[in-house]
Amino acid sequence: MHNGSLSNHNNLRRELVREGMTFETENDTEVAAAYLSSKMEHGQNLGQALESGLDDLDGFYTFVVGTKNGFGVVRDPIACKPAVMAETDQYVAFGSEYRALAGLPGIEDAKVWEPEPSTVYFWEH
Amino acid sequence: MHVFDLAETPLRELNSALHNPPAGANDIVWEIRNPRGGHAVAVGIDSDLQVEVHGNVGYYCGGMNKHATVTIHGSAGAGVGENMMSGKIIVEGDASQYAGATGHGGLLVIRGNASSRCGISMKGIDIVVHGNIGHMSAFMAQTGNLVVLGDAGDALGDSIYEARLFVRGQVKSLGADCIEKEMRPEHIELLQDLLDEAGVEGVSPSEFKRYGSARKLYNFDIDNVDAY
Repeated sequence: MHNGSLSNHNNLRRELVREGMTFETENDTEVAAAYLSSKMEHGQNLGQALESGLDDLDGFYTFVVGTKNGFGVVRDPIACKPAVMAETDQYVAFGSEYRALAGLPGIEDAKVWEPEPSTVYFWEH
Repeated sequence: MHVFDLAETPLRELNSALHNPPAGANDIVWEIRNPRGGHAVAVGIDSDLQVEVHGNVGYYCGGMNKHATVTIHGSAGAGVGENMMSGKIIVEGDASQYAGATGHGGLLVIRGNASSRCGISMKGIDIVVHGNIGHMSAFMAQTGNLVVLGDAGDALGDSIYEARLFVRGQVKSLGADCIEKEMRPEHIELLQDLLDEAGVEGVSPSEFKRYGSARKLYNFDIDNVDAY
């Protein structure tokens, strides 16, 4: 899930196509997804792939990425796209604003916080 | 005391009532329950009311406030107290991005932490944050005072005009044209007044450093082109 826009997606797409990735759209978010998939195919876990993305993805973005066993969040260095997270012993939740989380069970006692810019948050089980 | 439960009453009804309080009424206390992250709670008040919001609010709570005292017993979303003119807004929890943005006057107190761009383009408001503030705070701040008891993030006071910034903790980095300045007796006095007004106890103005404009970027100069 992506809120924002990438300014170097055309170049990244060309590089990923050369690597053998296939694309269905001209959309920048698909490039980000393909980029992360490519990194994970080369042995990185989701957290490492998101770290790499901080160097290679240019533009503004808040990404929320789910894999079979992982969940990650990263924001660009300017972090103007909103993000709020809630964490309890039972779950980690993400929303673009608190309103989206207000109905969650136990939200009153959850740790509610905003992810920092240029910082990878990553959970795996 | 007037009680509004936002689980039952539409927000517009609440704001409309706050904009037209009964003339000459002695009862100025308004209690708001179940905001559940709703936007624009208690915006545009223009009279001397005391508003108590119980719970977390969404965007722009208390925006454009004049005269009223709004207390949020919870955390606030983006733009709390945006463009406030006077009065007082107190956030008991944390505040999201651009708290107090473009504020012209009054006092905004955040008892927790504030996120990025706190006090961006402030125009006379006083902001006191008990915790830390995020990156790009006081960007293009024009006048007023920003007091931070904790730490400040990257690029504090970038392209600042004449606002005064007082930080007690660490500043991760200063933005373009923002420099540390001497704390003179008048600043100690001003800061003490702000701390008193914000209900801060046990903290001395001498623990703070002052930051402000180097005044090098006011007018375009080709030698500064990289800084714009």
